[in-house]
Amino acid sequence: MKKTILFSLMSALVATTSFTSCQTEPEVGTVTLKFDYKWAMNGADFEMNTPLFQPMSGDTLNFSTFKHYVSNIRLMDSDSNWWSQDESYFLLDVSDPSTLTVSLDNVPAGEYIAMQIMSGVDSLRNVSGAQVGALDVANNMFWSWNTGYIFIKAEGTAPSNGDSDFRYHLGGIEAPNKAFMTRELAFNTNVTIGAEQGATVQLLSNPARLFHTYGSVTNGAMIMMPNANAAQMASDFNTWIRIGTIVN
Amino acid sequence: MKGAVCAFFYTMKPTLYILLVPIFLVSCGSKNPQGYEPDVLFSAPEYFGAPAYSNDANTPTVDRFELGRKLFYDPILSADSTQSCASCHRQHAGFSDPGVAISPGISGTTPGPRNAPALANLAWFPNYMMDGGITNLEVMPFAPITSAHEMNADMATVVSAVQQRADYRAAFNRAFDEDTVTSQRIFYALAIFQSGMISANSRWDQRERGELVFSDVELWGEGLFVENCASCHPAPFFTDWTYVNVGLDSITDPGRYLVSQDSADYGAFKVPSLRNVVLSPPYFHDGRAATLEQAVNHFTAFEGGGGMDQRLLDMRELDKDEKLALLSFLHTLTDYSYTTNPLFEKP
Repeated sequence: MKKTILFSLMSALVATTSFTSCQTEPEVGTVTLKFDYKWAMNGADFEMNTPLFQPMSGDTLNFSTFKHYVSNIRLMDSDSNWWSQDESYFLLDVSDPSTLTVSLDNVPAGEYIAMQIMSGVDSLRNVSGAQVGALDVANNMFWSWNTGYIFIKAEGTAPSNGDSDFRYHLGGIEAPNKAFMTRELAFNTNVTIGAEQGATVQLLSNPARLFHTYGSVTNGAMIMMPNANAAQMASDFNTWIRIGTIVN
Repeated sequence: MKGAVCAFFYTMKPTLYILLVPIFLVSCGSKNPQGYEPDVLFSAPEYFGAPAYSNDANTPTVDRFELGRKLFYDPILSADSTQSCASCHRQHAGFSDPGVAISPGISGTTPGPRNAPALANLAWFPNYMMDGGITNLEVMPFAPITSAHEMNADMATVVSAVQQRADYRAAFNRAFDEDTVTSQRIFYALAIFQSGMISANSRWDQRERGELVFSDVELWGEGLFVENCASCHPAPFFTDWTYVNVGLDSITDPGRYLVSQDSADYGAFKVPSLRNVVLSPPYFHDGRAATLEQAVNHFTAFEGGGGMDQRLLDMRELDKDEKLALLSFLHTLTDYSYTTNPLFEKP
């Protein structure tokens, strides 16, 4: 009996040792996020520098700038475990298509069923001093006079309002006017990642949603600070964000 | 430079060293071509407490301090290279713009709404600007650099301009072990220079450390100050960092309301530090009071107005002699070793 136990222990030890020595780097792959922009309810594409009719407000709007932050991207696998990307901050500029494709590298192999994004920038990074990359203040997405990032910058003219300018700089980290939001988005098809297998996930946004509750630019063509209207516009935009096509 | 630093040493009383404590862990490998020790820069009295500003990624070194000093005095930070930080923050005046209510920005800008404040002990400030809108020392210079009323520059353009200069590439290499200029490194260096701008050797500080005693009139003034002023202006920074409506007429600047969106804060401004107050006229947020006497008169002989802070309504009127005594006490807050320290001069 004793011998048997000893033998078992030794076998276990050998098995463990050999398992350890054979262990290699875990398999990882890349998830590519592709941000696409729609306009209003008929599934039309959002176009810069083009008059677009907003059916709820009756405005026609011509965007010259549309930029927004997405951060803190996470993926949930089929066992409900989260993988979080390090230093996950992206400034998406619709006028610069190169910013609209985002690579999540070193994602462990597996099946993923959902993702989480923060639309905006987390409170901590708003108040952590000088940053680099997407959060560099030189990107002009940071308020100089009232510490914090502009999460969504929408500028242009309104042909329906005598071609007057509109400028919406939406941000704010203090309740009740928080303008950032965490969204959990279920995948309509599982995302499968292996060493040789990546996947592309399309994320859809809809700038017409900014005016869903706010209404016409004639209600105020300029918002340049955190307030209730900024929080409402950001919330209406952020809640629409959805998964489009998934290609494994 | 070395001689000047030694002179700075000798002006300080020996007891000062005992009571000064390093506020930051200064990195050991700090290069020191200027010939002084980093703890000269980053030491403060124990009664200052811990500074609000600290960043593990921005270790205070002599090289970052010297780079920050070079940037502080360089008009390269303005759109047309005519104004530096020091244009409106002059050392001899406690880093204020003495006698100027509203400092003009670079050519072609419209005047802003506020007076340039005195600068000292900024690492201990919980926030910056009269409305408290800026909450981190590192990004504070972003406001004047890009303001359309002040230096009116584009930050990315400033970064490129600094990168073009060989002297800066060398200085960034010393400070950050790389000669690549980024906005973050510019702000890091400016934050370290400003962290080193410590004013703690006024007569009040020397008395606090037992190095001298106040005169009778200074003591009388101190008593009046404690009774009437210290609820908003407590030592050691002589501010409680609150936002106060002091009952000025014709306020057009929303003040703290800009940040808080609370209508009760309309026309309220942060209680200013009174260190070096004598050197930094004019007074109030828009510089409307030309002299300290006028500012003191406002607080000691006014009729109460709407929205004014209760602490002001509770103040009693001071007579002429009492006001003079109070002014004598305010003079004890002036730190001439700070305003003449060669370490803070244009390099």
